[in-house]
Amino acid sequence: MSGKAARRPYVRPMAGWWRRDPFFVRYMVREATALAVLAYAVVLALGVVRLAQGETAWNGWLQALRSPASLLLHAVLLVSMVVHGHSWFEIMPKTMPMIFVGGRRLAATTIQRVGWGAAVVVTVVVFAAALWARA
Amino acid sequence: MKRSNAPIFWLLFGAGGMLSALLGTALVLVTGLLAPLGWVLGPAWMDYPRALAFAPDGTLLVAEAGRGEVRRFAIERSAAPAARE
Repeated sequence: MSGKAARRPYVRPMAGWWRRDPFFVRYMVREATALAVLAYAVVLALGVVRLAQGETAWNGWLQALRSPASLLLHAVLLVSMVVHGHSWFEIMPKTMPMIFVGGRRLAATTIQRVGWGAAVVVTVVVFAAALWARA
Repeated sequence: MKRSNAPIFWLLFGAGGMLSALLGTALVLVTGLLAPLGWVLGPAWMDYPRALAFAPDGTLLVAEAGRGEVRRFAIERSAAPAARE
């Protein structure tokens, strides 16, 4: 008997593992929003570089922001940011240490609602600041 | 015992995730959609003079830390020299 053929253990194929279960799909969508954050950070960092290079460079960056491709990208980024903000606080009860208030564990829904509420407040504040500096 | 460097990276991960969860939506909406389209915020929200300093009327503020003073420069679209206050 040849040793190799005798021992061929079954290895479960991992290709497409995250499509097998809606839970895994949601997990991968959540993780994928990190790419959106990365893309937006690159866009903003490029803007700072262009601003430092002077008015012509800055106007070129602004022009690029007005292109349909950029607007489409930012629409996708906006959806991703909403998904990220929602899921970040959705899983927060599992990612942070347990909190005890008066001997009882703080409810998961409380943590989630405080997080989502904070996100809404910050969003309104940023938007109000942008309006305050309106051209 | 060798110390783990994991806490540093978890801290960066957590801080970045938290900041983008709180600020990301509003920032993308403002800098990526509203300002380039000129919606709500006006057409010149990210124009060069305004992007340099953030005074709401477009005034350029230059702080001279060594002399302990702040100078205001009025913004003009022409090439005329900026007024000094």
